[in-house]
Amino acid sequence: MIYIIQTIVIYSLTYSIAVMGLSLVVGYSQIFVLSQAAVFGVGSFTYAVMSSRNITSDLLIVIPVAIVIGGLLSLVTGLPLFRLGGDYYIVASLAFQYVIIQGLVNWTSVSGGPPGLFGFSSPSILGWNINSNMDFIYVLVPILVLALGSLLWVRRMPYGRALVAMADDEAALAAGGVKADSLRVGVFVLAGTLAAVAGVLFTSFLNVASPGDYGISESILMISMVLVGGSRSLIGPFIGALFLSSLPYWLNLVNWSVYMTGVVTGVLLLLVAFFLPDGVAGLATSWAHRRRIHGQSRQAPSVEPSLGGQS
Amino acid sequence: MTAEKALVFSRAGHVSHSAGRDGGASRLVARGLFKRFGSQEVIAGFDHDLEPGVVTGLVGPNGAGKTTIFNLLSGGLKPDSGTVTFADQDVTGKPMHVVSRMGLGRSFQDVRVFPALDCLDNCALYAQTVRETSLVRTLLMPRSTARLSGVSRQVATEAVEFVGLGSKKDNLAGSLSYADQKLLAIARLLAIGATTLLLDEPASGLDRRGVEKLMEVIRRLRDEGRTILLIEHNLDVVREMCQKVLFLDRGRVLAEGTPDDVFARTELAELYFGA
Ligand SMILES: Nc1ncnc2c1ncn2[C@@H]1O[C@H](COP(=O)(O)OP(=O)(O)OP(=O)(O)O)[C@@H](O)[C@H]1O
Ligand SMILES: [Mg+2]
Repeated sequence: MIYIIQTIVIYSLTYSIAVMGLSLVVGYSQIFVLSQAAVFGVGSFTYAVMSSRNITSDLLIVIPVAIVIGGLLSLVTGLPLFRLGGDYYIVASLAFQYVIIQGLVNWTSVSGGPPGLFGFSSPSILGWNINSNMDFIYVLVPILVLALGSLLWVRRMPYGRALVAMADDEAALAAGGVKADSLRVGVFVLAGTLAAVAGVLFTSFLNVASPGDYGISESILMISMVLVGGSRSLIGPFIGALFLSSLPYWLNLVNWSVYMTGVVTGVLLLLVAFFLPDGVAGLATSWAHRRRIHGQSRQAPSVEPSLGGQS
Repeated sequence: MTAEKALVFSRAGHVSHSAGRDGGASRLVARGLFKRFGSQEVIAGFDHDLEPGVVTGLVGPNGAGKTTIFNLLSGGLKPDSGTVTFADQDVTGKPMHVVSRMGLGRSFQDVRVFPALDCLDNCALYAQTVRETSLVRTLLMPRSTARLSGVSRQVATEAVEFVGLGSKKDNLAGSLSYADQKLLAIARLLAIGATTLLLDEPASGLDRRGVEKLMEVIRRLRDEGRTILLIEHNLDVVREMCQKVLFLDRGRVLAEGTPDDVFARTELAELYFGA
């Protein structure tokens, strides 16, 4: 039992790191990229390759390497991605996802092909071997806190203020001298970097990396975590990650097949789409928020909603 | 104004007292602008040298193409032919975020303040530098970013106080009255350090008191030596504020001169008010 709880905690913490940055992408940039799992996978294979080739299993080295690889990859894909007009970037992000994972599948000498790589030496930090579940949790928590701290900082700073503005009105943002596309690329890279870090942690825990685990359905799961949890709050991705990453366990508990995971996730997404645009976390804040904004503006003459913004 | 504040203003490219001196350099010139949307020729040859340090009115019936001219001048919208120069640089069709940083600020007919940000943040956003807006710097140089952000907030405070919204600086822009939102939209342009301001119907939808407040702000901007191009349907405002008026109809300037001269022409009045 304690083992199961620990595993659930490890999964949720790892996925929280993986989708935390994505919440900025979805919540503020209001863009739906379907390539998060690819960078997650790239992080995974960074660890898998470095560890299986006995380069190093020290997380203090592997994680920075994964950050650089994941970050650069996101940058070179993000730059052209957001130049695309309309909603074509969704298609482009799908293509990106596909190319990366199929690339891994076919690059057999590095990735081990479809079965992937497995059986690595256990991860370590400066000679301390990370073996037990509790050890993993000790590693995950500070990384999570650091990631969360960075995101909170970004949100408080001018960059975060620009993100909020971008979600409302891009033309007015441009009139203020800020280019929306650069903001988008920025959060996209940040999200990719965090996913790559999570990939390292995930694989060092599971001791296996196979390309098939990072396919499009995984990307959809990751974006579902953000949407179900709530994309406009930082706690949202935690809620989503906690619930959806452990969903197979809960289903098992009530004697449902694990194959129902997809169905339940789909139903949850629909419920959120129809009833909770700001996810579960939005439920709690919406009441207070509604009082704050709408309560005051009711006395004010209504302002033309400024949609579109492409003038 | 204290020396310290003057320093802050200068960082944002603010010109304050000395705007007039700078006015010559950041002259806005339009040459032979044409723009069609589909089969409709919306701007049919617009030529104008915006006179520095002067408030120029741009009037004309609905759909004459006034806002389109703003869009052409302020970047973002490419003309089919013709050029726009600002501060001796060709800015034709350049992205709006580039042009606005050069000191050419524009407001929107539908106001477009950021409802989820408070007044101060609305202005601080316009005041923030490119460096502050860098994600890499935000993460790797937190202290310098925080310091720069503090400076922008100071500039923003100045701007908010200039238009008389000092006491409401912490209110969400979405909760402001329409009149205050319009003042905030002008404050934002001061925050970005605009030496030339394109104002799209700032007085529309305001009651008498709102119009009075607005005219007071425009008067002070003019006294500082800023260059203003003003689209306005309220002809009393145009008469009081503008030294010069352009009358636009179907994308063509039909008349140009002092407000009294232009408004005295009956054929224009007929066009304007509809025969
Ligand atoms: N992006 C666009 N696409 C197609 N047509 C447009 C576009 N923008 C403006 N128009 C058309 O161009 C004409 C001029 O519009 P514009 O907004 O410049 O007029 P205006 O003089 O500002 O009018 P108003 O006083 O009502 O604000 C209108 O007929 C409008 O429908
Ligand atoms: Mg207009």
